Amino acid sequence: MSNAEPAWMEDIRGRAREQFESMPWPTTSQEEWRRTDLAPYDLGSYGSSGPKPDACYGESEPAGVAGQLRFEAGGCVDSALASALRERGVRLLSLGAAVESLETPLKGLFEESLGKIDDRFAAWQLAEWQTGAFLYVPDGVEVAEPFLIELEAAGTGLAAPRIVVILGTGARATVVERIVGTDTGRDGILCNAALDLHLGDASNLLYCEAQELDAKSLYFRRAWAELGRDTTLRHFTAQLGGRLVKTKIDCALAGQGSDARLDGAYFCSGGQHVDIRTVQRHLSPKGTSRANYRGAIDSGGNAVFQGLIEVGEGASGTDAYLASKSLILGDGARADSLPTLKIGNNDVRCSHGSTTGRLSDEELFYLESRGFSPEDAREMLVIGYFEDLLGSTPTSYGAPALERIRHRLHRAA
Amino acid sequence: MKAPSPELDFGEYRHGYHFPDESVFKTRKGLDEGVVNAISERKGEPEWMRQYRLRALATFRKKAMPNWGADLSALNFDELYYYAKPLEQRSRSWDDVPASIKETFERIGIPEAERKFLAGVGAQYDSEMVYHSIKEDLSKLGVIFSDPETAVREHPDLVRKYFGTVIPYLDNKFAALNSAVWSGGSFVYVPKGVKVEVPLQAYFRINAQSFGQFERTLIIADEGSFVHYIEGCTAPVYATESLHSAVVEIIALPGSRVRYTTIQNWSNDVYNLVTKRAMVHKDAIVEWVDGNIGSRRTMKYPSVYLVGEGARGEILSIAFAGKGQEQDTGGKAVHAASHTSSVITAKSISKDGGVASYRGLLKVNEGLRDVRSRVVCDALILDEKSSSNTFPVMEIGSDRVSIEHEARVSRISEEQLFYLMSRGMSEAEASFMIVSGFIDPLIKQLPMEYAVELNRLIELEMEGSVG
Repeated sequence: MSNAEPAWMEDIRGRAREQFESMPWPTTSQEEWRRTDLAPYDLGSYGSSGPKPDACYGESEPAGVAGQLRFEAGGCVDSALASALRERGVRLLSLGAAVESLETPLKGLFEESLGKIDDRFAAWQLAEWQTGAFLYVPDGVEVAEPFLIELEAAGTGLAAPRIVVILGTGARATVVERIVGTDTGRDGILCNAALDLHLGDASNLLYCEAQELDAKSLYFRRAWAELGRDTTLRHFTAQLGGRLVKTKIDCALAGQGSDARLDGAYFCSGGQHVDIRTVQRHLSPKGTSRANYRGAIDSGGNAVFQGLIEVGEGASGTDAYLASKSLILGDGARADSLPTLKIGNNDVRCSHGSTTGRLSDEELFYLESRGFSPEDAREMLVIGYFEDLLGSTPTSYGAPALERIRHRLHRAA
Repeated sequence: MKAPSPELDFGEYRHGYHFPDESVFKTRKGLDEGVVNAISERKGEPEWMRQYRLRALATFRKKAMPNWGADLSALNFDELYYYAKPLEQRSRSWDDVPASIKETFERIGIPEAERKFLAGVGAQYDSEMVYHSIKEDLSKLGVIFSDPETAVREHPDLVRKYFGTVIPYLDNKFAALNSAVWSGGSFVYVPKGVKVEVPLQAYFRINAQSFGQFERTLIIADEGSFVHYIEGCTAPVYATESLHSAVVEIIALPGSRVRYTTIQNWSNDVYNLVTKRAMVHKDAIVEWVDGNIGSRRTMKYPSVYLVGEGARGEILSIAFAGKGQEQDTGGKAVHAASHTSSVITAKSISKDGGVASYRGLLKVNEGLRDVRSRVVCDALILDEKSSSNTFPVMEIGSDRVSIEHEARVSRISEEQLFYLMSRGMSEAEASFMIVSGFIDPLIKQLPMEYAVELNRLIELEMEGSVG
């Protein structure tokens, strides 16, 4: 380890490692892992996460964004934060740097994370995280431009990025996170990522994550979000790469009147397995949540969507909706959908919808009759299907994601 | 406006009468080879059925309890009686049926006068059919409607060909239990091209304390035939838990149509763990209409396996979970052939702390074309103590499919209540009207006498529910 960490962080890593060692890998006998079999993978062979990168503090001036952090091959290569924002108390720095300088509040948050460990991956992440980012936006500060966090994982082995975001009361921010992988190693990388969102009362966060790892890599991601009173979160995820993808977001609507939107897009083709889980956990009255996921599954792809709306006894006046759409693009594709509701309160309006189907013959025929080739017609319809969702995200996020989907469509064809 | 939450009283079981136990033969408590052999011997079964039971018993011991679904932790297999035979002689006519049993039936709602409308009444009192009549014209058509024991004796070829083929004892722990100790139930065979115009009905009843009832029903609809089978249950209230674990197998051969209607109204101490499945062949249709009102815990998911092209399955499931009740119900549709379609409609009401869960499976095997399915779940929660869950699973392995699923959970809307009350209705009347409207799709599917019975039951349970 290149940097000595504070003792409290060492202690937390140690306790996470103990949990890691006492837990078995999840197996298909556990409901959440029933459709994702880890048995063919030698997870232990990815080793540990290697040296911690140098701390970087976001000291240069960014162009076109509020702030930017870039990691390449585990090292921090770019770090910038608009000086006007720094003056108002905004912080964007690598998580390693934050741990060194901000024992409060990070120690408490890491203790909480320790308490949330519920499987071996979560324990592993907390014990091994190396790269990552910390964003803090103080009370009342509204930032219009996005913060950009890019992680480029290269070679083989384990990548364990961790991102922590804290928004103060009434703060507002947009974050675009991109994880990309370069295809250098024989077995790709195993990326075990974590996101921890703490959103104060009346704050507003738009968080967009795109995963574009190479076709050999494995991607595991856990996200936890806690919303205060009248808080708004929009979390968007695009799973566009990787051989095996298993993600879960657990969104707790802890404050009254909070509003969460969990949206996502995924593209899954031959040899890929994508398993996405969302949890809309209503803990307080008058919360609103929407989850809206769209996937396209091509021949040989295997997609699983598991969504849960859970309404606690005290969460009266809850309004929750969960929708999943699967578009099947070829023979031998497989799409499993498990939208679940657990409702412990009568003053609710909760619903979910799920559809699975293929491109409409009529629409294809119409486009072809207008002179489009079958391939172009197909591309237009698939892109249109995703554009519905991605169109409402920042262009710097949505446009590359659509481009990536287009690229994958061509490669598949 | 905040309307007070309506206090609907579904909890108290109002058919809680029972008569002294007059069982003639009863096995000892608990389950082992001796008990299974005694049941088999008592029934004078052929050796192959006895062996089948014993193999099923071995499987039952090996299989784990389900680690999902309703809470079954209070179930103690050693405290149950597995067989009781109520009467020495099969009753030949209604007049021979003992008065106490007759009275029980009449309280459930089978007046003697109604018999002439019924094609055949197989009324089950404890384990055996005590009364069984089939109209002569049905016999002339070649329709077989008997208890399964009679079928084992008189139609061994048919039974051996189909028994346990849709639900093998290896399927699950409770199917294995039923296969080991089954007793009573119905056997129906409808020959090629025969359309049975009137529904076949059987009433089942548990009347011995701590006594599990394990009826077994096998329905075979030959090519191009039609039959509607109706099963309705009520049970007296007892202090200790009773177990009801039935197996119902339907074979719908090409071009046939089978409709199976259940109104389950076990008393609130019964564990109702039932496996129901239909094998639906080419161009055949199977419809399950499944109403669950009673019991303490129900786990029941009527299934259609669509194995021939053009097969269609429909499942309509309605559950009511009151105080102390857990209704874990739903439906499963497995598409194993192209050009098949299925519809699952589930509605549940929970109240007084009851838990209603929809659990379903929709599976489309690989390499199929033109598969359509629609799953809709609606849940109504009547107070803040009650809960409702939805656990649908969709496994889609083909691309030429159209799959839709939706679910909604809500309470009685204040607007609806307010509107009806502003029209001069009391809150109780308004609530009853909304609940009636909610379950109307089920009521509409029932034959008239059942619809009347169910409506009466709900009205009774809504009585004095407000204030």
